[in-house]
Amino acid sequence: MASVALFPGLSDELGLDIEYTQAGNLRLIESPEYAQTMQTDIGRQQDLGLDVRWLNADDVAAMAPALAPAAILGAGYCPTDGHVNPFRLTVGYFQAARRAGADSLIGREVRAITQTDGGGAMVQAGPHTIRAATVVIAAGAGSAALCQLMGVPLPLTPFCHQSMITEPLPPLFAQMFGTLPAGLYFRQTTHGGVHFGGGDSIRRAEAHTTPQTLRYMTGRITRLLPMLRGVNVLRAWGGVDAHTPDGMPVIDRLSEAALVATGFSGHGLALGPIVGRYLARWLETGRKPALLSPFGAGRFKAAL
Amino acid sequence: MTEIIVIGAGPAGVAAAVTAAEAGARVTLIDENSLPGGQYFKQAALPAPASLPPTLAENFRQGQALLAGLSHKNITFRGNTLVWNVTPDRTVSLYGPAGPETLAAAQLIIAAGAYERVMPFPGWTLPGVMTVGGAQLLLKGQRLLAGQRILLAGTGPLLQVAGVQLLEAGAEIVAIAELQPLGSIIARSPRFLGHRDKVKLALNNARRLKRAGVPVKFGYAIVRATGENEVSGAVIARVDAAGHPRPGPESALAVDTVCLNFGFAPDTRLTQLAGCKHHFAERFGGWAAITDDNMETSQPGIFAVGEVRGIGGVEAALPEGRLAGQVAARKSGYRTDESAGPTRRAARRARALVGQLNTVFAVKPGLMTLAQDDTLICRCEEISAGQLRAAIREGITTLNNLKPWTRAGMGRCQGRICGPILAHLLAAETGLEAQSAGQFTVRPPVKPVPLSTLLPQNNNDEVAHDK
Repeated sequence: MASVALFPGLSDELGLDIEYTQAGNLRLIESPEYAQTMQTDIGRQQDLGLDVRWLNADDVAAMAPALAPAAILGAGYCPTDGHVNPFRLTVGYFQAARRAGADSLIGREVRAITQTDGGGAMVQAGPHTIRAATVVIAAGAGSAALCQLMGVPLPLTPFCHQSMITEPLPPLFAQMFGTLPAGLYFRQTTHGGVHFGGGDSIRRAEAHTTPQTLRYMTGRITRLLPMLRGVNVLRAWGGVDAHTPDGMPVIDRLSEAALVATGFSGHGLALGPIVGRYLARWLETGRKPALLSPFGAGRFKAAL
Repeated sequence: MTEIIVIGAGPAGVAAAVTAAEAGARVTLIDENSLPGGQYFKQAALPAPASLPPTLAENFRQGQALLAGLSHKNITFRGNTLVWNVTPDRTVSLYGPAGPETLAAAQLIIAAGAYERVMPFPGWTLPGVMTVGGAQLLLKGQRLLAGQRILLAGTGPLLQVAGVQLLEAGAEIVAIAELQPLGSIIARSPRFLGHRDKVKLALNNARRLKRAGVPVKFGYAIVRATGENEVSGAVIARVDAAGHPRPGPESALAVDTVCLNFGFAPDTRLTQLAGCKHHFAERFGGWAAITDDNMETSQPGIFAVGEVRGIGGVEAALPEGRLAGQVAARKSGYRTDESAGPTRRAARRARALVGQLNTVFAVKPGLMTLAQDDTLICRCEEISAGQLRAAIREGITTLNNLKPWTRAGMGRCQGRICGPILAHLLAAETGLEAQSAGQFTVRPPVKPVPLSTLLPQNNNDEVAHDK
């Protein structure tokens, strides 16, 4: 919820339009056995103070007329959710960091991280050696190997997720959509393409697509959006997420000179900005913010 | 399981298919065009025309002789069929007249050919500015002239070859702007002494153009194209050894068509999707698939022949295709009488010559300065040179980083056209070698296909969940 409050102001803060669209999130129900699960979910989330409600089929049809009405029984609706252009979000932060005085090295592999006698860190990146008081490891699925360089094992599992995007279309809907059971999400980008993904969760560290998963995702989305059958798909790709055993991130101190923030288990885009803010506070004050306390690496001692 | 699938029915693919079929293997030959022949033998599968200009007639005869082999009973030709994905396990995804289909191949031969390289300049996106190959396609495939008053610009022997073809077909060739100065071509010509037929052909073309009064301007580049809604003029200027326009007079030409060719780049999209290893070979057009002596790539059972291995022309494509056809047939359990030695030697000899040619007709880095900050580089997403230069100043050094940063390469062509240009732009702005820009990671589909193409073809598509 803290993260949701952050997004609307980010384009102004970063000086770059991150294409944030806050039009709500619908988790669509396609078969009756999941309607009850959704109602229970909604009740639990309402108890946590989240504005979530049940929409029946007519409500969904009124809200998103592009969806095939026959395929949908209802949805869980959270009006405060949104979606964003992940590239522009990343570029915006990068440029803002540079303006604030950060140096950058792109396209270099970190081969060694060592603690210096003075208590700082020394990072070997390609031909460069960088010294710093603190190093923050936030390398997604690559974080496990970097933490291992410092002798700290983390129980991260790489999962490859697949996505596709269609050619640009006239505006169809502004909301973000997911399904229960999980397996498909979709949205229309500001550029106009319908971006959808999910499909599988295959344990592998290589980012590439598989024909079977592309067919599966296509089958599911064309049931919900039959008008997409004749629309061209431009691109399909795979990306690797780092997952933890409990699906919650690891945000902790590894040593005197190193912090880690990883294992977002598929939620890195939504949580990245708020976690980044708290990490900065931690670096500034030297004290771990209370909000980050549940995410210690110690909770996985038994798993290692 | 199909014994052998050959992708691409140009010279290399046809030679591979015919050789494998004659050895006894069953071959499926797939091409995106309705007829076999590729770009080089485009018209050879059509009925013989009453009259053809002399240069096209020779091309037609050679093509017919090659394509005659396709009547072999072991060959199934599937035209109008796009291969939009290939996986390392040799699963081939098709989109053709019968709808989507997935085939599995025991042996897969990729003969996907090449695409033309162009360099950007103000006005290069105007209608009427096209590639030389595009104009040749119209001429060979449809017997249409691209225009009446044509400027050919770029570098390489193709400019003069196409100049003669267009001239014979009735166009006026206003000028040919060849990037290389005549002196540097002559200085390197002793390398071609062993290839008298090639030299003779080139001299013939030059004589024909001279007789017709076509000005062939050596050491010149097109610096801009002008026109309101379509091209109506072009300006050419002398360039220095690095490709920068020299101060001094420019020539403004009245034209209705500009045809560009700055050599070719291997089409490695399918070999990349198949996970084959590639290397950067500047004199063979950039990134190319690596193979062993048998044309087999780093992926077992996947072969690459012809331009996919690096720009080698028809003389390399034919023996390489035959070699891959032989080896693939042998791996499928058929015996071939043909000895591989002479075929291998013919392929090597052809490659050596083309490699020399390609170094003579290299693209010059200074040409990148022609693109003004408002000149579009990525045409699909309309990304300008200025936007790209700004991103490069932020520290971007590779194509794959430039893409999410700027959207260049994310449109309908998926970076096929702008990829080689962006590599030059990165090199020009960063001072790094062109190869350090890397390649765009290829994503399926290689060309846009309707989503219905990807619909499940059976009910076995429940996906795995590891968690």
